[in-house]
Amino acid sequence: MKRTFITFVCAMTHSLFSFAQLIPLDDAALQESHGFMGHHIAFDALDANPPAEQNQPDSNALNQVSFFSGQVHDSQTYQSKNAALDALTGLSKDGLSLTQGIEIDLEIQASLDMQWQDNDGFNDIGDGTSGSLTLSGIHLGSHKGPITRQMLESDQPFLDSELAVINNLLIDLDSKQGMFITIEELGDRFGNGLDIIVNDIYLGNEQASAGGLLIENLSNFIQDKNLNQLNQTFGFNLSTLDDGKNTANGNWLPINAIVLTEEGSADTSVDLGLPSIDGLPSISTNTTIDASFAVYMDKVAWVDDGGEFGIADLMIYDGLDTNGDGIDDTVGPAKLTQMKIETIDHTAYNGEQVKALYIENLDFKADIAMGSIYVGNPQTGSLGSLHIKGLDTAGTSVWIYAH
Amino acid sequence: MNNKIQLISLCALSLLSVYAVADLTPLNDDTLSAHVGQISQRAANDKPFQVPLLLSESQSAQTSPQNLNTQAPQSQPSAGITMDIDLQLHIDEIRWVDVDGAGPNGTQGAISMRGFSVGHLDSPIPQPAQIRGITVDVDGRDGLVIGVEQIGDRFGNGIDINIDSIQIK
Repeated sequence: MKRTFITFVCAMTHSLFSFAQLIPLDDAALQESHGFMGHHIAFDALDANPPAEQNQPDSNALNQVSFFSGQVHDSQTYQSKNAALDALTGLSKDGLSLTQGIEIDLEIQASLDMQWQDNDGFNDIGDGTSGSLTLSGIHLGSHKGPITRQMLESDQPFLDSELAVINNLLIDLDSKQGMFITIEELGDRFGNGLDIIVNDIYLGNEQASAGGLLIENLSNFIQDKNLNQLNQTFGFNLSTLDDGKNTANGNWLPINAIVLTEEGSADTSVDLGLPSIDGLPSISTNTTIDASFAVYMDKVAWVDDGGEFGIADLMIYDGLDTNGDGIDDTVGPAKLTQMKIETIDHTAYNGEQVKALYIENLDFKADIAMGSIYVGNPQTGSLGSLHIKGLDTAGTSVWIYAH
Repeated sequence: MNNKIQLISLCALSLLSVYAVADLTPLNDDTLSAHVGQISQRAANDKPFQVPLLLSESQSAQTSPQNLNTQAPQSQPSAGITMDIDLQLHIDEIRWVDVDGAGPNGTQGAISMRGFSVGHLDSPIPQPAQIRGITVDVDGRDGLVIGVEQIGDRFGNGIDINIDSIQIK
Protein backbone atom coordinates (compact mmCIF):
# COMPACT_ATOMS: atom_id res chain seq x y z
CA MET A 1 0.00 0.00 0.00
CA LYS A 2 2.83 2.35 0.88
CA ARG A 3 4.59 1.54 -2.37
CA THR A 4 1.40 2.31 -4.32
CA PHE A 5 1.09 5.66 -2.62
CA ILE A 6 4.73 6.60 -3.35
CA THR A 7 4.33 5.62 -6.99
CA PHE A 8 1.17 7.70 -7.22
CA VAL A 9 2.86 10.77 -5.72
CA CYS A 10 5.91 10.44 -7.96
CA ALA A 11 3.75 10.17 -11.04
CA MET A 12 1.70 13.21 -10.05
CA THR A 13 4.72 15.36 -9.31
CA HIS A 14 6.28 14.32 -12.63
CA SER A 15 3.59 16.22 -14.55
CA LEU A 16 3.93 19.21 -12.25
CA PHE A 17 7.61 19.56 -13.06
CA SER A 18 7.11 19.14 -16.79
CA PHE A 19 7.49 22.53 -18.53
CA ALA A 20 8.39 24.04 -21.88
CA GLN A 21 10.39 27.23 -22.43
CA LEU A 22 9.96 29.50 -25.44
CA ILE A 23 13.39 30.63 -26.63
CA PRO A 24 14.12 33.25 -29.31
CA LEU A 25 15.19 32.13 -32.78
CA ASP A 26 18.76 32.82 -33.72
CA ASP A 27 19.67 34.92 -36.80
CA ALA A 28 20.21 31.91 -39.05
CA ALA A 29 16.80 30.52 -38.25
CA LEU A 30 15.18 33.94 -38.72
CA GLN A 31 16.72 34.36 -42.15
CA GLU A 32 15.14 31.10 -43.21
CA SER A 33 11.72 32.42 -42.27
CA HIS A 34 9.80 34.58 -44.70
CA GLY A 35 6.79 36.73 -43.96
CA PHE A 36 4.07 37.85 -46.34
CA MET A 37 1.68 40.65 -45.72
CA GLY A 38 -0.85 42.49 -47.83
CA HIS A 39 -2.10 41.85 -51.26
CA HIS A 40 -0.86 39.52 -53.86
CA ILE A 41 1.51 40.94 -56.43
CA ALA A 42 3.35 38.28 -58.36
CA PHE A 43 5.72 38.82 -61.24
CA ASP A 44 8.18 36.53 -62.89
CA ALA A 45 11.12 37.55 -65.02
CA LEU A 46 10.90 35.60 -68.25
CA ASP A 47 13.59 33.67 -70.00
CA ALA A 48 14.43 34.62 -73.56
CA ASN A 49 12.35 31.72 -74.84
CA PRO A 50 9.78 31.08 -72.19
CA PRO A 51 7.52 28.07 -72.26
CA ALA A 52 3.99 28.94 -73.30
CA GLU A 53 2.42 28.04 -69.99
CA GLN A 54 4.65 30.53 -68.14
CA ASN A 55 2.58 33.42 -69.41
CA GLN A 56 -0.65 32.07 -68.06
CA PRO A 57 -2.02 34.21 -65.27
CA ASP A 58 -2.62 32.57 -61.92
CA SER A 59 -6.38 32.55 -61.70
CA ASN A 60 -6.26 31.91 -57.96
CA ALA A 61 -4.12 34.94 -57.35
CA LEU A 62 -6.50 37.11 -59.34
CA ASN A 63 -9.08 36.71 -56.63
CA GLN A 64 -6.86 37.66 -53.74
CA VAL A 65 -6.74 41.42 -54.12
CA SER A 66 -9.10 43.87 -52.59
CA PHE A 67 -7.24 47.13 -52.20
CA PHE A 68 -8.97 50.40 -51.43
CA SER A 69 -10.96 51.14 -54.54
CA GLY A 70 -8.39 49.22 -56.55
CA GLN A 71 -8.30 45.85 -58.18
CA VAL A 72 -5.92 43.47 -59.85
CA HIS A 73 -5.36 44.27 -63.48
CA ASP A 74 -5.02 41.61 -66.11
CA SER A 75 -1.75 42.53 -67.76
CA GLN A 76 -2.51 40.70 -70.97
CA THR A 77 -5.51 42.90 -71.63
CA TYR A 78 -3.59 45.93 -70.45
CA GLN A 79 -0.54 45.23 -72.60
CA SER A 80 -2.45 44.50 -75.77
CA LYS A 81 -4.47 47.67 -75.30
CA ASN A 82 -1.35 49.77 -74.87
CA ALA A 83 1.24 47.94 -76.93
CA ALA A 84 1.64 50.77 -79.42
CA LEU A 85 1.81 53.35 -76.68
CA ASP A 86 4.32 51.28 -74.71
CA ALA A 87 6.51 51.20 -77.79
CA LEU A 88 6.37 54.99 -77.93
CA THR A 89 7.38 55.45 -74.32
CA GLY A 90 10.58 53.44 -74.60
CA LEU A 91 9.76 51.94 -71.21
CA SER A 92 9.27 48.46 -72.56
CA LYS A 93 8.05 45.70 -70.31
CA ASP A 94 9.49 43.08 -72.65
CA GLY A 95 10.84 40.07 -70.84
CA LEU A 96 8.63 40.67 -67.88
CA SER A 97 5.45 38.77 -67.25
CA LEU A 98 3.20 41.30 -65.58
CA THR A 99 0.61 38.81 -64.55
CA GLN A 100 -0.87 40.75 -61.68
CA GLY A 101 -0.53 44.13 -60.09
CA ILE A 102 -2.45 46.77 -58.25
CA GLU A 103 -4.83 49.08 -60.06
CA ILE A 104 -6.17 52.09 -58.21
CA ASP A 105 -8.82 54.62 -59.14
CA LEU A 106 -8.75 57.81 -57.12
CA GLU A 107 -11.17 60.65 -56.62
CA ILE A 108 -9.27 63.11 -54.53
CA GLN A 109 -9.52 66.56 -53.02
CA ALA A 110 -6.79 67.84 -50.72
CA SER A 111 -5.66 70.98 -48.91
CA LEU A 112 -2.36 71.53 -47.16
CA ASP A 113 0.30 74.09 -46.25
CA MET A 114 4.04 73.65 -46.81
CA GLN A 115 6.86 75.51 -45.10
CA TRP A 116 10.64 75.32 -45.42
CA GLN A 117 12.33 76.83 -42.40
CA ASP A 118 15.81 78.39 -42.64
CA ASN A 119 16.87 78.87 -39.03
CA ASP A 120 19.82 81.18 -39.64
CA GLY A 121 18.50 83.01 -42.69
CA PHE A 122 21.06 84.59 -44.99
CA ASN A 123 23.95 84.10 -42.62
CA ASP A 124 26.82 85.37 -44.76
CA ILE A 125 28.26 87.70 -42.09
CA GLY A 126 26.59 86.15 -39.09
CA ASP A 127 23.60 88.46 -38.81
CA GLY A 128 20.97 86.39 -40.59
CA THR A 129 17.40 86.29 -39.42
CA SER A 130 15.37 83.12 -39.29
CA GLY A 131 13.04 82.92 -42.27
CA SER A 132 10.80 80.55 -44.10
CA LEU A 133 9.48 79.77 -47.55
CA THR A 134 5.79 79.06 -47.17
CA LEU A 135 3.21 77.80 -49.61
CA SER A 136 -0.02 78.62 -47.83
CA GLY A 137 -3.28 77.08 -48.93
CA ILE A 138 -2.37 74.43 -51.47
CA HIS A 139 -5.63 73.02 -52.82
CA LEU A 140 -6.11 70.09 -55.18
CA GLY A 141 -9.46 69.42 -56.84
CA SER A 142 -11.25 69.71 -60.16
CA HIS A 143 -13.62 72.52 -61.11
CA LYS A 144 -15.68 72.15 -64.26
CA GLY A 145 -15.46 75.79 -65.33
CA PRO A 146 -12.68 78.38 -65.31
CA ILE A 147 -11.04 79.09 -61.94
CA THR A 148 -12.31 82.42 -60.65
CA ARG A 149 -10.54 85.11 -58.64
CA GLN A 150 -12.74 84.26 -55.66
CA MET A 151 -11.60 80.66 -55.82
CA LEU A 152 -7.95 81.73 -55.91
CA GLU A 153 -8.41 83.64 -52.67
CA SER A 154 -10.65 81.15 -50.91
CA ASP A 155 -9.63 78.74 -48.16
CA GLN A 156 -12.10 76.24 -49.63
CA PRO A 157 -12.06 76.85 -53.37
CA PHE A 158 -13.65 73.55 -54.35
CA LEU A 159 -17.08 72.15 -53.53
CA ASP A 160 -17.12 68.76 -51.85
CA SER A 161 -18.25 67.24 -55.13
CA GLU A 162 -15.38 68.75 -57.16
CA LEU A 163 -12.97 65.86 -56.93
CA ALA A 164 -9.88 65.37 -59.07
CA VAL A 165 -10.03 62.07 -60.92
CA ILE A 166 -7.08 59.72 -61.37
CA ASN A 167 -8.10 56.48 -63.05
CA ASN A 168 -6.08 53.34 -63.69
CA LEU A 169 -3.06 54.01 -61.52
CA LEU A 170 -1.17 50.75 -62.05
CA ILE A 171 1.68 49.53 -59.87
CA ASP A 172 3.78 46.54 -60.89
CA LEU A 173 6.84 45.23 -59.10
CA ASP A 174 9.81 43.22 -60.31
CA SER A 175 12.82 42.21 -58.26
CA LYS A 176 15.24 42.86 -61.14
CA GLN A 177 13.66 45.67 -63.13
CA GLY A 178 12.19 47.69 -60.29
CA MET A 179 8.79 49.26 -59.75
CA PHE A 180 6.60 50.18 -62.70
CA ILE A 181 4.11 52.97 -62.11
CA THR A 182 1.59 53.87 -64.78
CA ILE A 183 -1.14 56.49 -64.70
CA GLU A 184 -3.47 55.94 -67.61
CA GLU A 185 -5.97 58.72 -66.99
CA LEU A 186 -5.32 61.99 -65.20
CA GLY A 187 -8.62 63.86 -65.26
CA ASP A 188 -11.73 62.93 -67.19
CA ARG A 189 -12.40 62.53 -70.91
CA PHE A 190 -14.12 65.94 -71.11
CA GLY A 191 -10.90 67.83 -70.46
CA ASN A 192 -11.51 68.38 -66.75
CA GLY A 193 -8.08 67.71 -65.32
CA LEU A 194 -6.52 68.43 -61.95
CA ASP A 195 -6.74 71.99 -60.66
CA ILE A 196 -4.03 73.10 -58.23
CA ILE A 197 -4.36 76.40 -56.39
CA VAL A 198 -1.77 77.93 -54.07
CA ASN A 199 -3.39 80.88 -52.29
CA ASP A 200 -0.20 82.60 -51.14
CA ILE A 201 3.56 82.23 -51.33
CA TYR A 202 5.56 83.86 -48.55
CA LEU A 203 9.28 84.46 -48.96
CA GLY A 204 11.16 85.15 -45.75
CA ASN A 205 8.29 86.00 -43.44
CA GLU A 206 4.52 85.82 -43.59
CA GLN A 207 3.82 89.54 -43.50
CA ALA A 208 3.42 90.00 -47.25
CA SER A 209 2.42 87.50 -49.91
CA ALA A 210 4.46 87.23 -53.07
CA GLY A 211 1.33 86.05 -54.89
CA GLY A 212 -0.30 82.75 -55.62
CA LEU A 213 -0.03 79.96 -58.16
CA LEU A 214 -2.59 78.34 -60.42
CA ILE A 215 -2.40 75.17 -62.49
CA GLU A 216 -5.69 74.63 -64.31
CA ASN A 217 -6.80 71.35 -65.86
CA LEU A 218 -3.60 69.32 -65.73
CA SER A 219 -4.34 66.19 -67.74
CA ASN A 220 -2.78 63.55 -69.96
CA PHE A 221 -5.89 63.50 -72.14
CA ILE A 222 -4.82 65.31 -75.31
CA GLN A 223 -8.00 66.80 -76.77
CA ASP A 224 -8.30 67.13 -80.53
CA LYS A 225 -9.49 70.75 -80.29
CA ASN A 226 -6.47 71.79 -78.22
CA LEU A 227 -4.06 69.97 -80.51
CA ASN A 228 -5.66 71.54 -83.57
CA GLN A 229 -5.24 74.97 -82.01
CA LEU A 230 -1.53 74.37 -81.40
CA ASN A 231 -1.14 72.95 -84.92
CA GLN A 232 -2.67 76.09 -86.31
CA THR A 233 -0.51 78.39 -84.20
CA PHE A 234 2.79 76.71 -84.95
CA GLY A 235 2.06 75.27 -88.38
CA PHE A 236 2.32 71.68 -87.26
CA ASN A 237 0.39 68.61 -88.33
CA LEU A 238 0.50 66.64 -85.13
CA SER A 239 -1.97 63.95 -84.17
CA THR A 240 -2.33 61.59 -81.23
CA LEU A 241 -2.03 57.84 -81.36
CA ASP A 242 -5.25 55.89 -80.83
CA ASP A 243 -5.33 54.87 -77.18
CA GLY A 244 -7.52 51.86 -77.98
CA LYS A 245 -10.32 53.04 -75.72
CA ASN A 246 -12.60 54.49 -78.38
CA THR A 247 -12.36 57.82 -76.60
CA ALA A 248 -14.16 60.64 -78.37
CA ASN A 249 -12.49 64.01 -78.98
CA GLY A 250 -8.96 62.95 -78.07
CA ASN A 251 -6.67 60.25 -76.77
CA TRP A 252 -4.98 59.38 -73.50
CA LEU A 253 -1.20 59.20 -73.33
CA PRO A 254 -0.22 57.14 -70.28
CA ILE A 255 2.31 58.44 -67.77
CA ASN A 256 4.95 55.80 -67.06
CA ALA A 257 7.77 55.58 -64.56
CA ILE A 258 10.26 52.90 -63.59
CA VAL A 259 12.10 53.22 -60.29
CA LEU A 260 14.97 50.81 -59.69
CA THR A 261 17.09 50.75 -56.54
CA GLU A 262 20.44 48.99 -56.62
CA GLU A 263 23.08 48.43 -54.02
CA GLY A 264 25.93 50.88 -54.41
CA SER A 265 29.59 50.71 -53.49
CA ALA A 266 30.56 50.98 -49.86
CA ASP A 267 32.38 54.30 -50.15
CA THR A 268 29.24 56.11 -51.27
CA SER A 269 27.24 55.25 -48.18
CA VAL A 270 26.10 57.76 -45.64
CA ASP A 271 26.89 56.98 -42.01
CA LEU A 272 23.65 57.52 -40.14
CA GLY A 273 25.08 56.09 -36.95
CA LEU A 274 22.81 53.08 -37.15
CA PRO A 275 24.04 49.69 -35.98
CA SER A 276 24.76 47.05 -38.58
CA ILE A 277 22.05 44.41 -38.74
CA ASP A 278 22.80 41.11 -40.38
CA GLY A 279 20.36 40.13 -43.08
CA LEU A 280 19.19 43.65 -43.87
CA PRO A 281 20.21 45.28 -47.16
CA SER A 282 22.88 47.94 -47.15
CA ILE A 283 21.73 51.55 -47.05
CA SER A 284 24.39 52.31 -49.66
CA THR A 285 22.09 52.35 -52.64
CA ASN A 286 21.41 54.36 -55.74
CA THR A 287 18.11 54.85 -57.42
CA THR A 288 17.59 55.03 -61.16
CA ILE A 289 14.45 56.64 -62.55
CA ASP A 290 13.08 56.39 -66.08
CA ALA A 291 9.87 58.22 -66.88
CA SER A 292 7.77 59.23 -69.84
CA PHE A 293 4.75 61.52 -69.97
CA ALA A 294 2.76 63.92 -72.09
CA VAL A 295 0.57 66.44 -70.32
CA TYR A 296 -1.60 69.37 -71.25
CA MET A 297 -2.54 72.29 -69.00
CA ASP A 298 -5.08 74.97 -69.76
CA LYS A 299 -3.16 77.44 -67.65
CA VAL A 300 -0.09 77.81 -65.44
CA ALA A 301 -0.04 81.23 -63.87
CA TRP A 302 1.40 83.40 -61.15
CA VAL A 303 -1.46 85.33 -59.61
CA ASP A 304 -0.93 88.66 -57.87
CA ASP A 305 -3.70 90.91 -56.59
CA GLY A 306 -6.15 89.38 -59.03
CA GLY A 307 -3.89 89.85 -62.04
CA GLU A 308 -2.15 86.99 -63.78
CA PHE A 309 1.09 86.33 -65.59
CA GLY A 310 1.23 82.91 -67.09
CA ILE A 311 1.19 80.40 -69.87
CA ALA A 312 -2.04 79.19 -71.45
CA ASP A 313 -2.44 76.00 -73.48
CA LEU A 314 0.81 74.44 -72.29
CA MET A 315 1.69 71.01 -73.63
CA ILE A 316 4.80 69.05 -72.67
CA TYR A 317 5.43 66.14 -75.02
CA ASP A 318 7.95 64.82 -77.54
CA GLY A 319 7.13 65.08 -81.23
CA LEU A 320 7.78 61.88 -83.16
CA ASP A 321 8.47 61.41 -86.84
CA THR A 322 6.79 58.07 -87.48
CA ASN A 323 6.95 58.05 -91.29
CA GLY A 324 10.55 59.21 -91.70
CA ASP A 325 9.82 62.38 -93.67
CA GLY A 326 11.74 64.57 -91.22
CA ILE A 327 8.62 66.22 -89.84
CA ASP A 328 7.11 65.37 -86.48
CA ASP A 329 3.63 63.97 -86.94
CA THR A 330 2.72 62.27 -83.65
CA VAL A 331 2.47 63.43 -80.06
CA GLY A 332 4.73 61.14 -78.07
CA PRO A 333 5.77 61.31 -74.45
CA ALA A 334 8.59 63.44 -73.05
CA LYS A 335 11.27 61.19 -71.57
CA LEU A 336 13.49 61.19 -68.53
CA THR A 337 16.15 58.54 -69.09
CA GLN A 338 18.36 56.75 -66.58
CA MET A 339 18.42 59.52 -64.03
CA LYS A 340 20.43 58.32 -61.01
CA ILE A 341 20.00 59.63 -57.50
CA GLU A 342 22.45 58.76 -54.73
CA THR A 343 24.19 60.28 -51.74
CA ILE A 344 27.95 60.70 -52.13
CA ASP A 345 31.04 62.40 -50.74
CA HIS A 346 31.54 65.65 -52.62
CA THR A 347 34.08 68.47 -52.68
CA ALA A 348 32.19 71.73 -52.37
CA TYR A 349 33.12 74.89 -54.28
CA ASN A 350 35.11 76.12 -51.26
CA GLY A 351 37.08 72.88 -50.93
CA GLU A 352 35.09 71.43 -48.05
CA GLN A 353 34.29 67.74 -48.04
CA VAL A 354 30.53 67.37 -47.74
CA LYS A 355 27.84 64.78 -48.11
CA ALA A 356 25.74 65.63 -51.14
CA LEU A 357 22.64 64.37 -52.88
CA TYR A 358 23.88 63.63 -56.38
CA ILE A 359 21.50 63.63 -59.36
CA GLU A 360 23.53 62.16 -62.17
CA ASN A 361 22.63 62.46 -65.83
CA LEU A 362 19.51 64.59 -65.76
CA ASP A 363 18.69 63.41 -69.27
CA PHE A 364 15.34 64.96 -70.17
CA LYS A 365 14.09 65.17 -73.73
CA ALA A 366 10.92 67.06 -74.60
CA ASP A 367 9.12 69.51 -76.81
CA ILE A 368 7.18 72.30 -75.09
CA ALA A 369 4.34 74.18 -76.75
CA MET A 370 2.97 77.34 -75.14
CA GLY A 371 -0.17 78.55 -76.88
CA SER A 372 -0.05 81.92 -75.21
CA ILE A 373 2.27 83.71 -72.81
CA TYR A 374 0.08 86.36 -71.30
CA VAL A 375 -0.29 89.14 -68.80
CA GLY A 376 -3.79 89.69 -67.44
CA ASN A 377 -5.89 87.61 -69.79
CA PRO A 378 -4.74 84.83 -72.15
CA GLN A 379 -6.82 86.19 -75.04
CA THR A 380 -6.42 89.94 -74.71
CA GLY A 381 -3.03 90.12 -73.01
CA SER A 382 -1.02 87.67 -75.08
CA LEU A 383 2.69 88.31 -75.53
CA GLY A 384 2.81 85.66 -78.22
CA SER A 385 3.24 81.92 -78.48
CA LEU A 386 6.41 79.96 -77.88
CA HIS A 387 7.50 76.53 -79.00
CA ILE A 388 10.63 74.76 -77.79
CA LYS A 389 11.59 71.82 -79.96
CA GLY A 390 14.12 69.15 -79.08
CA LEU A 391 14.99 70.16 -75.53
CA ASP A 392 17.80 67.83 -74.44
CA THR A 393 19.57 68.13 -71.08
CA ALA A 394 21.74 65.00 -71.35
CA GLY A 395 25.06 65.52 -69.54
CA THR A 396 23.61 67.75 -66.84
CA SER A 397 24.25 66.75 -63.22
CA VAL A 398 23.37 68.38 -59.90
CA TRP A 399 24.86 68.15 -56.41
CA ILE A 400 22.73 69.40 -53.51
CA TYR A 401 24.17 69.90 -50.04
CA ALA A 402 23.90 72.05 -46.93
CA HIS A 403 25.83 75.17 -46.00
CA MET B 1 -2.82 -8.55 -6.66
CA ASN B 2 -1.06 -5.60 -5.15
CA ASN B 3 1.57 -5.65 -7.86
CA LYS B 4 -1.11 -5.58 -10.54
CA ILE B 5 -2.79 -2.57 -8.93
CA GLN B 6 0.57 -0.83 -8.65
CA LEU B 7 1.39 -1.49 -12.26
CA ILE B 8 -1.98 -0.19 -13.49
CA SER B 9 -1.65 2.91 -11.32
CA LEU B 10 1.85 3.57 -12.56
CA CYS B 11 0.84 3.27 -16.21
CA ALA B 12 -2.24 5.45 -15.76
CA LEU B 13 -0.36 8.16 -13.96
CA SER B 14 2.55 8.07 -16.40
CA LEU B 15 0.14 8.59 -19.26
CA LEU B 16 -1.35 11.53 -17.42
CA SER B 17 1.76 13.63 -18.09
CA VAL B 18 1.73 12.68 -21.75
CA TYR B 19 -1.76 14.07 -22.17
CA ALA B 20 -1.08 17.18 -20.13
CA VAL B 21 -1.17 20.17 -22.50
CA ALA B 22 -0.84 23.93 -22.07
CA ASP B 23 -2.73 26.38 -24.24
CA LEU B 24 -1.34 29.90 -24.75
CA THR B 25 -4.27 32.28 -24.64
CA PRO B 26 -4.17 35.95 -25.64
CA LEU B 27 -4.09 38.58 -22.95
CA ASN B 28 -7.23 40.63 -22.57
CA ASP B 29 -7.21 44.41 -22.92
CA ASP B 30 -7.08 45.08 -19.18
CA THR B 31 -4.00 42.94 -18.74
CA LEU B 32 -2.33 44.42 -21.81
CA SER B 33 -2.93 47.98 -20.63
CA ALA B 34 -1.06 47.18 -17.44
CA HIS B 35 2.14 46.63 -19.45
CA VAL B 36 4.17 49.67 -20.50
CA GLY B 37 7.02 49.69 -23.02
CA GLN B 38 9.70 52.26 -23.61
CA ILE B 39 11.98 52.88 -26.59
CA SER B 40 15.05 54.96 -25.96
CA GLN B 41 17.15 56.43 -28.74
CA ARG B 42 20.84 56.92 -28.22
CA ALA B 43 23.45 57.99 -30.71
CA ALA B 44 26.43 55.80 -31.30
CA ASN B 45 28.61 57.88 -28.99
CA ASP B 46 25.87 57.84 -26.32
CA LYS B 47 25.04 61.54 -26.69
CA PRO B 48 21.53 62.53 -25.65
CA PHE B 49 18.82 62.63 -28.26
CA GLN B 50 18.46 66.17 -29.59
CA VAL B 51 15.48 68.24 -30.65
CA PRO B 52 14.49 67.44 -34.26
CA LEU B 53 15.49 70.09 -36.76
CA LEU B 54 12.00 70.10 -38.24
CA LEU B 55 10.72 72.07 -35.28
CA SER B 56 10.60 75.75 -36.05
CA GLU B 57 12.53 78.17 -33.89
CA SER B 58 9.45 79.34 -32.04
CA GLN B 59 8.33 75.77 -31.47
CA SER B 60 11.79 74.87 -30.23
CA ALA B 61 11.73 77.73 -27.80
CA GLN B 62 8.38 76.63 -26.42
CA THR B 63 9.37 73.03 -26.07
CA SER B 64 10.50 72.03 -22.64
CA PRO B 65 13.76 70.07 -22.86
CA GLN B 66 12.87 68.22 -19.68
CA ASN B 67 9.65 66.96 -21.18
CA LEU B 68 11.50 65.52 -24.13
CA ASN B 69 14.24 64.15 -21.92
CA THR B 70 16.73 66.07 -24.04
CA GLN B 71 19.27 68.81 -23.84
CA ALA B 72 18.77 71.83 -26.06
CA PRO B 73 21.57 72.47 -28.53
CA GLN B 74 23.95 75.29 -27.72
CA SER B 75 23.14 77.15 -30.94
CA GLN B 76 20.80 76.73 -33.89
CA PRO B 77 22.38 74.67 -36.65
CA SER B 78 23.03 76.43 -39.91
CA ALA B 79 20.55 75.81 -42.70
CA GLY B 80 20.34 76.52 -46.37
CA ILE B 81 20.75 74.80 -49.70
CA THR B 82 23.82 74.81 -51.91
CA MET B 83 23.83 73.40 -55.42
CA ASP B 84 26.63 72.64 -57.84
CA ILE B 85 25.56 72.08 -61.43
CA ASP B 86 27.26 70.61 -64.46
CA LEU B 87 25.13 72.19 -67.18
CA GLN B 88 24.70 70.92 -70.69
CA LEU B 89 21.68 71.82 -72.76
CA HIS B 90 20.66 71.66 -76.37
CA ILE B 91 17.46 72.83 -78.05
CA ASP B 92 16.82 72.19 -81.70
CA GLU B 93 14.58 75.22 -82.15
CA ILE B 94 12.96 77.98 -80.10
CA ARG B 95 10.16 79.68 -82.00
CA TRP B 96 8.25 82.74 -80.86
CA VAL B 97 5.05 83.28 -82.82
CA ASP B 98 3.11 86.55 -83.07
CA VAL B 99 -0.28 85.28 -84.17
CA ASP B 100 -1.77 88.56 -85.31
CA GLY B 101 1.36 90.17 -86.71
CA ALA B 102 1.64 93.97 -86.84
CA GLY B 103 -1.26 96.37 -87.22
CA PRO B 104 -4.99 95.71 -87.75
CA ASN B 105 -4.40 93.68 -90.91
CA GLY B 106 -1.24 92.00 -89.78
CA THR B 107 -0.06 88.52 -90.74
CA GLN B 108 1.23 85.91 -88.39
CA GLY B 109 5.01 86.00 -88.04
CA ALA B 110 7.69 84.17 -86.11
CA ILE B 111 11.30 84.35 -84.98
CA SER B 112 13.18 81.06 -84.75
CA MET B 113 16.48 80.33 -83.07
CA ARG B 114 17.93 77.05 -84.27
CA GLY B 115 20.68 74.98 -82.74
CA PHE B 116 20.67 76.58 -79.30
CA SER B 117 23.41 75.01 -77.14
CA VAL B 118 24.70 75.75 -73.63
CA GLY B 119 27.75 74.13 -72.06
CA HIS B 120 31.49 73.95 -72.56
CA LEU B 121 31.50 73.98 -76.34
CA ASP B 122 35.19 74.61 -77.13
CA SER B 123 36.07 70.96 -77.42
CA PRO B 124 35.00 68.84 -80.41
CA ILE B 125 32.63 66.96 -78.15
CA PRO B 126 30.48 69.31 -76.05
CA GLN B 127 31.07 69.04 -72.32
CA PRO B 128 29.03 70.35 -69.37
CA ALA B 129 29.82 73.82 -68.07
CA GLN B 130 30.44 74.25 -64.36
CA ILE B 131 28.33 76.34 -62.03
CA ARG B 132 29.41 76.02 -58.41
CA GLY B 133 27.96 77.27 -55.15
CA ILE B 134 24.41 78.28 -55.97
CA THR B 135 23.16 79.14 -52.50
CA VAL B 136 19.51 79.41 -51.52
CA ASP B 137 18.41 80.92 -48.19
CA VAL B 138 15.22 82.45 -46.90
CA ASP B 139 15.75 85.28 -44.46
CA GLY B 140 13.16 86.89 -42.21
CA ARG B 141 14.43 90.34 -43.17
CA ASP B 142 15.87 89.91 -46.67
CA GLY B 143 13.40 87.37 -48.09
CA LEU B 144 14.57 84.76 -50.58
CA VAL B 145 18.32 85.12 -51.14
CA ILE B 146 19.98 83.33 -54.05
CA GLY B 147 23.69 83.58 -54.71
CA VAL B 148 26.08 82.10 -57.23
CA GLU B 149 29.72 81.69 -56.21
CA GLN B 150 31.40 80.42 -59.36
CA ILE B 151 30.38 80.34 -63.02
CA GLY B 152 32.95 78.40 -65.00
CA ASP B 153 36.13 76.77 -63.76
CA ARG B 154 39.47 78.21 -62.57
CA PHE B 155 41.04 77.68 -65.99
CA GLY B 156 38.87 80.31 -67.59
CA ASN B 157 36.34 77.96 -69.08
CA GLY B 158 32.98 79.66 -68.57
CA ILE B 159 29.61 78.91 -70.03
CA ASP B 160 29.46 78.85 -73.82
CA ILE B 161 26.18 79.67 -75.57
CA ASN B 162 25.87 78.96 -79.25
CA ILE B 163 22.98 79.63 -81.65
CA ASP B 164 23.41 78.18 -85.12
CA SER B 165 20.92 80.51 -86.84
CA ILE B 166 18.18 83.05 -86.25
CA GLN B 167 15.38 83.18 -88.77
CA ILE B 168 12.51 85.61 -89.18
CA LYS B 169 9.53 84.18 -90.99
